[in-house]
Amino acid sequence: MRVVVASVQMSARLLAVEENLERADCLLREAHLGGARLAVLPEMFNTGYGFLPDYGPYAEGPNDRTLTHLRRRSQRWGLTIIAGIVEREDRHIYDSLAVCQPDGSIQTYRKRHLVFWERFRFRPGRSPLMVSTPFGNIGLAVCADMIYRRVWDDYRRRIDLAVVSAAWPDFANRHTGRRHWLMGHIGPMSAEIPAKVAGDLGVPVVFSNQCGATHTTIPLLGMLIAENIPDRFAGQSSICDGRESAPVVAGVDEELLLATVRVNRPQGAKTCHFMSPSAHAA
Amino acid sequence: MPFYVPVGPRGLIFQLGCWVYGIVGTLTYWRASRRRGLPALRLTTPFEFREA
Repeated sequence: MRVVVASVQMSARLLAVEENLERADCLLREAHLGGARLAVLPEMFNTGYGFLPDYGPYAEGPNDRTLTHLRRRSQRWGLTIIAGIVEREDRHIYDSLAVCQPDGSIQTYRKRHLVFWERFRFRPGRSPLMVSTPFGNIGLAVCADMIYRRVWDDYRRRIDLAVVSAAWPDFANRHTGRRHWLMGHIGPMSAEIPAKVAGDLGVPVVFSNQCGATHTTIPLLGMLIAENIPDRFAGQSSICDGRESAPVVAGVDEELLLATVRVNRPQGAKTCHFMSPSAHAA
Repeated sequence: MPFYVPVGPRGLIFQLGCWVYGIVGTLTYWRASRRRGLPALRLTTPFEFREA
């Protein structure tokens, strides 16, 4: 089965929710007009990604404005939209990935491997999530999740397509180009890991990353002393088919990637395991 | 926890840092989440998109 998929690479200004939603909406419209049936937005595409005192006031549930809007778009365009948001459930907030399907359902995957300051602001997710769609089962990961073996072992032979949504920085000073002493070699991996996963698991991988300037905060002594790098997001979003063709890779600026991938659904019924708490909206 | 890609000797420092901040961060988060149990501030500004 061949499916057109879209990876949205965009910059998201910190806390400029309306502006970010509008920008994403334009790119989603382009994806829809290009025939996409699946579109992926970066991690925290609506709030922007960066160290803040509290994400609480910007965290949303399934009936708040971001997901209400994406659900409408998904239903109207017949487009499955996967988007990174800050999710709230009761008193807890999560760095989540919401899957909006054309039937109006919304399910959320919560990032399991929080790094740096994220541990101070979010609650980690507990389990993987595989979502059943008309074109196969999708396995989800957020940013740093993808560097851990366990994440991909959990999905091996159980998914037909993998999605990674990220705000992956370059870990280099954007003015001087000097790489960070500890994390500098991690930045370029954003382009390598999705291709490796596609080859290893034998499924297409859609990777959507933020782009543009940012400040990467690395805690040194709690959050009292932290290192701030005038950084930029690595961009290099990609769509990797896994078997047939070379990956389609974006540059470092805003861009919409569209590509046709082959999804091999196994014959007969396939069991889906929904292991993560999911938000089902009416 | 094993990495999917080789991250070199610096990966050990990264892993140790993640472990330490897992503990410190959980405590900080837990205190903040208790405060958040109070009635929440929500973004309620109506926002309309133009239709396609």
